[in-house]
Amino acid sequence: MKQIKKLLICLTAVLLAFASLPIIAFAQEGEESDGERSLLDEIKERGVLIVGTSPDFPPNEFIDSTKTGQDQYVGSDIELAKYIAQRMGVDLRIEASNFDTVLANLSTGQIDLAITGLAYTPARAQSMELSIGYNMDEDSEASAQGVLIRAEDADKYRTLEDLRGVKIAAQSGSIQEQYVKDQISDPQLQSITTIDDGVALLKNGSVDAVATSMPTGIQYAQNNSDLATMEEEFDISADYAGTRIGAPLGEKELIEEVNTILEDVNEQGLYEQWYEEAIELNNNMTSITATSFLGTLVQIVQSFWPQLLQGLLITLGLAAITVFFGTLVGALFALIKLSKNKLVQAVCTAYVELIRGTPLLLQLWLFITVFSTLSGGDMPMLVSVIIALVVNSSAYVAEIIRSGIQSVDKGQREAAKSLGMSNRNTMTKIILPQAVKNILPALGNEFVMMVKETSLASTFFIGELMTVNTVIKSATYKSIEPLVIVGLIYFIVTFTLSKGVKYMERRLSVSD
Amino acid sequence: MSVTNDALIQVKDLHKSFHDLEVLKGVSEEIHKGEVVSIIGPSGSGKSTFLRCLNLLETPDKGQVIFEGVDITDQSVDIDKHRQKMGMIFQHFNVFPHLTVLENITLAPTLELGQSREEAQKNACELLAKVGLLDKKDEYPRKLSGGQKQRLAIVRALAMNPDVILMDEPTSALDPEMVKDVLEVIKELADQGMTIVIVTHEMAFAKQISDRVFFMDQGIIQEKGTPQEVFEHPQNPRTIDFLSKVL
Repeated sequence: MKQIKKLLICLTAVLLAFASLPIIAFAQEGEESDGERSLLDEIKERGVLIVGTSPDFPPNEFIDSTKTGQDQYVGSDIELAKYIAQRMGVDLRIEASNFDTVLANLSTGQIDLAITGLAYTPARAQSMELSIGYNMDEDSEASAQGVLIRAEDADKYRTLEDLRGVKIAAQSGSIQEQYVKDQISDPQLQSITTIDDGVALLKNGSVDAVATSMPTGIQYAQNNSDLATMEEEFDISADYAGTRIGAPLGEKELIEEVNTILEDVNEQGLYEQWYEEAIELNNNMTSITATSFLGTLVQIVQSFWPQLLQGLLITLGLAAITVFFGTLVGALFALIKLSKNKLVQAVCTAYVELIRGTPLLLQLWLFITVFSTLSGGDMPMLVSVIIALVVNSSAYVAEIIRSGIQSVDKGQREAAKSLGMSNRNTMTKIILPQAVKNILPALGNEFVMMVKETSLASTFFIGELMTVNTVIKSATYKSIEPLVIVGLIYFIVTFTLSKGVKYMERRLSVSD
Repeated sequence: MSVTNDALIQVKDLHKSFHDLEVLKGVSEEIHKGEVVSIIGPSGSGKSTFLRCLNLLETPDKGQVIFEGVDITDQSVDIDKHRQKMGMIFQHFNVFPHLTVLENITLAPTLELGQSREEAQKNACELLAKVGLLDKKDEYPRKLSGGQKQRLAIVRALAMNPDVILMDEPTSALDPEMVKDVLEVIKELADQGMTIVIVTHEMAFAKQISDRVFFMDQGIIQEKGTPQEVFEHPQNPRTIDFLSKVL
């Protein structure tokens, strides 16, 4: 009976905890819509336009790896964003993330506009406000959509009809995916998140074709001798023509303002100008000339070592901050878990089990979404990421500390109590100094784990090593080499740290 | 020896169960000031549990422990204060491995009695000298033998200046050649008039130092009396049976 009651209390606490986060968020959302203030007013009031983009799509949006901060985001779409912000009379802030995240951020209000080479699809038109098209020239190379294949298959796949039943990769939710479904019979569609992933799959033979915009496809073919673009391209119907800007659903005023600006852009041919400049900038950047695998590795390290070093420092910094604050919070929870109050104990147990029983990536998403909703998009992504990491780590640290304390011989506590020592003195002078010996190495291992776990935060482009991998990939059109380099860095760092932890463990156990 | 009739500890109808096993089935007894009481009996008879209930390391399910006139089983009592007056010696010593010999002894007096560092150290050194451990004062316990650790534990308890010392099989975990040193220290304490309650399997020792002996079995005190009465003229058949096996 007692067991069942305990279980019920825990379950209730877990459910309450789960339910409360979104409820708070929704309550906040409700208040906002009551206020009848449009997003456009809000943007003008705060003086900043927040634009989401996925900077792995040159020349529309990509990263200039010689620069840092907001300046690193370049390309014709970024120029467009700057122009729109300038016309609105506000500052611009670019919020970089991968393509899916941009769309998700738009619906949660994290960003005001999505400018990321968005094409029209009927489904998309239902879930957000889409602007009129820009970059409209149908005959130009810029708006063409086609297929990337292996060079050796160039004779085998010439027309769209040749691709019947062939495995073809396309970004999920993209216009290319729509074309594949509409224009290729019986397609074997493989969903991918970025074109880079598709190219990697194409190279290793997992798929035989990748649907992509032609400018991007041509860049890949030029930089990889084993790739080629297929002769026939997709037929671009008028419905789908041009690239669009997305705004949150219901923000009519904002999208009308954007449309007014886009009309001027189209009239003056501004985008075509920016596009030419972006291609030139991109061509200057991608200078990997080596042909061998090893040569490419060396050349990438030579040109990107400042970025790699910075990424490594951010990774280590993130892990250190996370474990430091995770330890503070975790210690608190561990002590409460060891206390006698059944209710707070149940709440703590629920917290620890809930965090340990759900994936970190889910927690990252949940925290970022909830915080951005609560703060009306003002909470910097990095802060949300750090909070989510700290919360995650604290649950593991709580268990580390609890088991560290419980591993101290029961007789030590009894001896202290029999001397009349207070609970506090018993804990601080007798139990904790001995528990530290078990706790420190485990905390070291948690740090090593976190060095790897922070890579999940690369979904939100916060500049750690895995983000640098994406940056190098989109700058060089190489997909395997950056992975190998970043992987090696991770391995060297974690291997060294693990050895250090082992050494510390041995030193501490000497006093036994 | 100066045994008085003042009850230092009064135990009234003590009950204690672990899950479904009733270990103490109603024990009532008095320990007088200056008295040395040995508790003997077979394993699982409740001797250690009884001893551990005296300073509330085990919380009794029912009954009272009155120490120096205060019912320490009362929830509102600050048990830490009363435990300072009841030293305890454990079978496995339980010395603090992360502290030096001297720190082991001075920690509680400085923290809980408000003694200055110098005062506590002076006191500790005097006590260490008495048990022949002064030269080890700056060592860590890992360098000590079992007998030395137990002598350290006794000094640690004495440093709190207790009114009674509870000893839970203090020589059971020792190598045979170490036992004598520890027993000598205990005997000296007894000779100086310290009130001692000792759970032990050393029958000869119990006979030698005790004022009274309790024979416990099946959760109650089956027989009690002077060493002569219990060891030489036992009345209870269980006592007779037990002594026939151990003597």
